[in-house]
Amino acid sequence: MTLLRGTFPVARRVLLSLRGDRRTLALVVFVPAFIIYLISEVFTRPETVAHIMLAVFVFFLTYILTAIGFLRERTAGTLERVLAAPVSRSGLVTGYVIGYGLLATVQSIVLLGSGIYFLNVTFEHGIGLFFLLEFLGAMTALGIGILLSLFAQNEFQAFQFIPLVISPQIILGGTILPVEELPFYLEYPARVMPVTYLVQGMEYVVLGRGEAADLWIALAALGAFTVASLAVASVVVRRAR
Amino acid sequence: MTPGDVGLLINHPTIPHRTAIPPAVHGLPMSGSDVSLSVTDLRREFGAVTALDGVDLDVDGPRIVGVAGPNGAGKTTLIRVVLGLLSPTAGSSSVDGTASLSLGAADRERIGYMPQEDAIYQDLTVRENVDFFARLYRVENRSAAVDRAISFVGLEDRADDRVSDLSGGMIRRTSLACAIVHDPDVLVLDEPTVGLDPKLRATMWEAFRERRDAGALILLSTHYLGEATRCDDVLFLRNGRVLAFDSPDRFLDETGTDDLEDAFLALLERDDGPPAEGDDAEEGVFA
Repeated sequence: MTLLRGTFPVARRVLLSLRGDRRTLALVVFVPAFIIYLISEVFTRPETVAHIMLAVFVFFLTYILTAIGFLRERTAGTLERVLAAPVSRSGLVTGYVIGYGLLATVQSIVLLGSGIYFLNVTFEHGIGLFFLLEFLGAMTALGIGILLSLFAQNEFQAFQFIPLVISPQIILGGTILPVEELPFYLEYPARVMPVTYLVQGMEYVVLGRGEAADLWIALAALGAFTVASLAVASVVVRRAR
Repeated sequence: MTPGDVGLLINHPTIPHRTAIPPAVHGLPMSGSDVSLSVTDLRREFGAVTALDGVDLDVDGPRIVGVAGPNGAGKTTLIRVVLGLLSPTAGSSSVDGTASLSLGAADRERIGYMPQEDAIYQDLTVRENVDFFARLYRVENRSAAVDRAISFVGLEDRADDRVSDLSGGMIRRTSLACAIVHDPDVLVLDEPTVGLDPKLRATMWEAFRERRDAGALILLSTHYLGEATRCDDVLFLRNGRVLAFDSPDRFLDETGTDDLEDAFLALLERDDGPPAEGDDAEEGVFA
């Protein structure tokens, strides 16, 4: 299939590279568990904040993972070399999604396990829905990570996006104050932020707050953010500039 | 000589055509069609900087064509435009008759590219890197092709070592193996021998000639004048413009000089009077 040409070699390459990259492996496997452990030590009733922590960290860590991973591909010159080969741009981006998507899945499992173990999280609406939500949150962060890395010239610039793009989401996305209680000029921006929907979904699945419709809206919004960011990324990764 | 004359100078009868040598001799079978490369009145600007200014180049058949010139002459820009990785501001370029910007998957399968940067994966072994490109190009009998490419660059003993453990020269050779694993008809190499010791450079050149004799068209950039001597034709670029395009022997004849260094200086003088300071060719390397 020419539309996805290059997908599987690229996905395979992403995963093979990890074997030699212990720092990234640690970022995927140990760091999430460590962070959740630290949270469990400082909050007296961690179960009240657990769902927010799980939402925020899956987003944050996946963003770092993919933004830096894709940026490295560009700065090392391998991206241009791959683009000189018979691959399609959508195939290339899909390859990254599969490769990093598997990593994000592992990370989601680690966060889920740590949440249960350290934060005593229980799920009002089942662990399956929680995992689906966590996974979609990771995929959104993945799409945004790939997209934003295309606008960064080096790793420092990719990190400069964190205060600009990630922090407002973490502050406004229903984490500290419910979105409805924000002044209107902040509520509307918050409504177009993925973390808002991730937190909204988590509140339903973990705490049983809100209605089933809130969950479906959250799932649909996260799916849309993922597809949109990846579609834009496939267009931005042009062969010729 | 003007760039427009260049078409007349190529196709030397002394260069064996691909059919003269059975592919099996090299163990690197080539596909049967002809190879060509054409650039017409190419111009590329980066903001206020004009990297290429009216470049013409026509190459037909298996040749080693060198693109020589000082840093910033436009060598890499020319290569990237030819590969369709950069769109020209004006003018056109094509590979095997297909416009560079329209090269499809089937066209790209015939092209090999070795960029100036290392452009291989540090966390993979030599074999994994070559295998990745073999998969991208959907090479048949992949493992045999990967072995062949690795032995072509003489890295059999280090095939399972991670790239981050290799020396600079070995990394360049791994990069070359990645560029040839799919047995391309058109090989584009950006400063392939930079940073290599003379012995290794000679080995690489043997490899290039071997591929040329098997029917490949090789376009390579260099800022070593001594290296340009080894090409079948040399395109001298300066400030994005073609200073001259000819075979090294004809350059020497034309300018009445003994080496390309002097020939280059003579060409500069002819172009615009005595050479500017930055154009001095010291010790065979462009300043």
